[in-house]
Amino acid sequence: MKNIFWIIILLIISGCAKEISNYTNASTKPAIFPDYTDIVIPVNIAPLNFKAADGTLEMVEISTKQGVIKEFCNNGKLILDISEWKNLLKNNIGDTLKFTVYITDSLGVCRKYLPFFQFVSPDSIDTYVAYRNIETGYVSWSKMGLYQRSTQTFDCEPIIENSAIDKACINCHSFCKQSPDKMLFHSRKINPGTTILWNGKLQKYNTKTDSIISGGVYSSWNPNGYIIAMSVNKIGQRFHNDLNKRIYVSDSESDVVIMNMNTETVSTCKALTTENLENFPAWSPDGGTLYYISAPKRAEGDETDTSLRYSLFSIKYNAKTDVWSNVDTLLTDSAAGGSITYPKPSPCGRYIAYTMGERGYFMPFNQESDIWLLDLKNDTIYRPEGINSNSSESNHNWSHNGKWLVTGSKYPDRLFTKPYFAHFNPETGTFAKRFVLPQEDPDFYERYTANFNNTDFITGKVPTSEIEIRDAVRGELKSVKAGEK
Amino acid sequence: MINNKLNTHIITITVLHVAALIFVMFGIGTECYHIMQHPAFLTDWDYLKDFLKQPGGLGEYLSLFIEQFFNSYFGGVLLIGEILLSAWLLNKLTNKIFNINITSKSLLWLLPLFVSVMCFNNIYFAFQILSQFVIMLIVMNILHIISAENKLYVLALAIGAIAVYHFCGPLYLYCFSLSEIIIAFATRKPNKIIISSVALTAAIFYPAILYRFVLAITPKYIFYYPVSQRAILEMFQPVIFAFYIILPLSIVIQYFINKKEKPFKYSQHLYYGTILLMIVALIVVYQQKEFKHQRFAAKISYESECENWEYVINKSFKCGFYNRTVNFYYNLALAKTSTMGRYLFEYPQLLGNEALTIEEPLAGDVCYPTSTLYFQMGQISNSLRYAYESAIYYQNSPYIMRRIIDCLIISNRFSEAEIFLNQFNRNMLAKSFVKDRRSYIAGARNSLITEEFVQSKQKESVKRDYIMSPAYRNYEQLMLSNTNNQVATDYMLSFCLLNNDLDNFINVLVSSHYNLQKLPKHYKEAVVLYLSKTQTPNPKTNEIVIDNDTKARFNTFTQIASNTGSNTYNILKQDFSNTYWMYYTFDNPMRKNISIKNSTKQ
Repeated sequence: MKNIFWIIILLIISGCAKEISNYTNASTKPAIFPDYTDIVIPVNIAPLNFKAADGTLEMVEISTKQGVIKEFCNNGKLILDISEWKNLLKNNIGDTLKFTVYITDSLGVCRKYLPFFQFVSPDSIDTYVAYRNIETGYVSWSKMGLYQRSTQTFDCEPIIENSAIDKACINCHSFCKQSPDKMLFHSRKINPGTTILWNGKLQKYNTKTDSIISGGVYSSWNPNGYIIAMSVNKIGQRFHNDLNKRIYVSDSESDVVIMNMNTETVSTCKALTTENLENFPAWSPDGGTLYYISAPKRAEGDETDTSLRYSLFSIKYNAKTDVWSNVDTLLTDSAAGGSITYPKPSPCGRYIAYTMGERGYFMPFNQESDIWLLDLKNDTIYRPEGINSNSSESNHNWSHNGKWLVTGSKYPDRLFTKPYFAHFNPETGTFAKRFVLPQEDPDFYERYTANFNNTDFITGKVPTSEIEIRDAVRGELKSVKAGEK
Repeated sequence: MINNKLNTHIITITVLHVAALIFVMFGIGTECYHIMQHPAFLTDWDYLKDFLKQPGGLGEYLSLFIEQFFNSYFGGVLLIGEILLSAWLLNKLTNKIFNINITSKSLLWLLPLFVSVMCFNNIYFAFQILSQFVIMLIVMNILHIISAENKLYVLALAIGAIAVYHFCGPLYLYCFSLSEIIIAFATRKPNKIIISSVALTAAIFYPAILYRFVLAITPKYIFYYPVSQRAILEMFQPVIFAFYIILPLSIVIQYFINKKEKPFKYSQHLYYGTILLMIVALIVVYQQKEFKHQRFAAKISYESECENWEYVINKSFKCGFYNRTVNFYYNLALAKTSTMGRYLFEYPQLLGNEALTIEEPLAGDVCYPTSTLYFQMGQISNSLRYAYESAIYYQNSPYIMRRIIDCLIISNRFSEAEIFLNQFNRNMLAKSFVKDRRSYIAGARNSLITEEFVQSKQKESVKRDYIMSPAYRNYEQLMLSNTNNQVATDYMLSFCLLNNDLDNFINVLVSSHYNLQKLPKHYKEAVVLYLSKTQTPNPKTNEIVIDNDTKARFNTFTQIASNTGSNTYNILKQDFSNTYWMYYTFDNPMRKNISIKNSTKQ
């Protein structure tokens, strides 16, 4: 009886793991979904499961210096075991994984394709990414939340879901140097305010003072951990008939203000609160320079003007003395050839990655927007290969070691934003080919009808529970004091 | 006695079957406000997992499963029947073995409950409550089977309570525990009274305990989303609470009535009497004017989605009350049948141009109709935009999914459409639709969405880019793009009329495809009015032919109107109630200071 049981088991196994002997050789590399061909991957990334873009994936041979692993695919999908995958990466740091795939087409013909490669970089990626999950409405929202997803596994947990805070709109999360210990996000309409996790304490603030036009919107933490630069905006949106543009978000007014967590004050600086539209502040890695974008204010009542273009500026700041120097123009829109937005200095301090599009500062719906690099050392700008596509690219962020960049891209469907990672070489200023955040089920991105909004790296899990955050958002609203000008 | 009981049960089940049949046969379902926007049921494991994570998720899952069959007529009837029958059989079995008879009587409570929720015109929540309640009763039955001999009562109660919380939700947990106490009390079992009282206390604190302490050590996969707020609790709290109170209360009443009798006996007469009373009360509520109006609006909305324009016009004429939704669909139906210029003022246009589109305030019940308006008009980008907004409120709604997919196909955005097709394909009833649209995308021209249809929509749509607000800009651009766009032209003209903007009305009219010698009634009325008010009329008005009857009627109108007597309005209303002159002079909302904000509740 026992033998029969083992025979059945063996038959099942042999039935599943059938060698493929009848195939023809293809002269091309395979089309797989998601596209994980010829990429550089971090040593600690979750398994990059995939399927054939067309046809049925039958088998994958993964060749390493240790030998060849044959993976037989159930339901046409390569679903790798996490622990085996981790070992595979660990044993091949600085080396290349060679993938040879066998795909059967709709006519039943099996083909062995030319191999593709994944180089295992010793540069690890931050262990979590934080993002806002939002559906494809423009004005309405229902279920949304901030989530933290492990980059090493497929675990995903909410930082806060709006179901816990009376369906408030949650937006514009920001971390200090990718640390989960210092975080802020805003809630809007219901339970409004800015909830800040600082020194282990959660507090919701009303960052609006009499002297500024609104509460904080787009934020950047100074690396010193207690200064936060925030834009304050009066935002409007208009809808385009052209589906490649869809929505145009613009400000009638905007400034940049500074919040000091030690004194719980919000102060303004003349240079950052001009008649122009200052926006998207970003601190340099040493905290001594604030980068931001600015554009001339558009004419009152000009509802059809969609030609607003932003330029990139910087201003030196001494946090100890709270003294600002003069503004430097780093890159004008005309020199850049478009509107500059979302400046993000690299942790090495040499580069500023920015999004450039036709107009405005809000790029997720601008299909022509791309990520560009400003090399501060050589004073040059260029559109790097590997991280751009014909869809919208925006909302990028650097990992804390500066070796990885995550971008929000609507590629390939041009509708839903997905996070793509790309390895960066600071010496050459080049990126390897990007790859999308891996999911356990390779079908995921083919049917997921929501957006990964503003994906940012964090070096660990946010230390507070959803309940504590909920209580803070629903709790006391502390008004900040107006600082000196 | 047993036979009588059996007969009662059979009669009850039969009545429920027949009621369900009538419900579907007479199309009452179409009157349910959200029937066209209910979420699609998906068949894969991931979908079920999402529900199991939430308290009450299984009940919601089952309700979605049942509800989807109302897309195809008799499936819903059969399923409801089968669920009730299964519960009844389970009860029979319990009754036979353990002499416990709670389920069949409680099942009757489903009927008033169902009717009560139908009062709110929401079939989804009706089924959700029904499913959750059936699950709770099944758990109660299992509890009594296991604990019949008192041996495993505590364990069974604990497991039952946890199951009820996770499958049905916190409210059912309270109901479950309270019922247990009362049953124990009524059946004179002191031990069980104490235990179930403890259970009730635990039930009250269970979610909090779970939330604060258990979550920290249990796999998140099992107890996730503990703080999610169930929309059902927010929306139907009074109904649900009433129901939960009445069930245990009825048993308590029974107890006091039969106090002297030992052992406790349950009077069927009182029980059925209570149920009957409740049904009567609910029918009275159901017949309330407000609900009637809502149901009528829903019916009009449904028929409009089915493009039964004649029905919409004829019924709206006769409805006898004002409703914004009816007004909106009436206007659309007129435009679709090219009769806007003739019948626009047959229905009171109390909101002026704000009833042409119902974009504001943005909410689930206006997004989809607005998407429909723009789809009918040929403004596909805006239709798609509102379909996306609508999808926020009604995730995976089949109607919205179809609209999004068709808009994307018409816009040649096949890769985007493919994602929604993949998602929609997870619904078993959508497979033929998905197959059809995929075959179109693949180049097959024998699909249900025809090449002619797509081309006609593409022809209507505006190629150039522009900002799609305010609403009239869409009509304007559609007219510029295709002068023969009847719907857009009529909307533009009506917009001007409802805005009392006669100068622009004339400008639009003379540049439109309308034959100026054969204008519809209201347009002629507007021209006469314009000519009477303008010193230097648009030269093209010379080409407009106005019949003598219209001129004579206008003269009569102005003569009476110039009479400043207090009764002028009523006199004019007798003969001119359905004229533009009446709207222009008296009825327009600018005069009455009516705004959409204070009339949305109508």
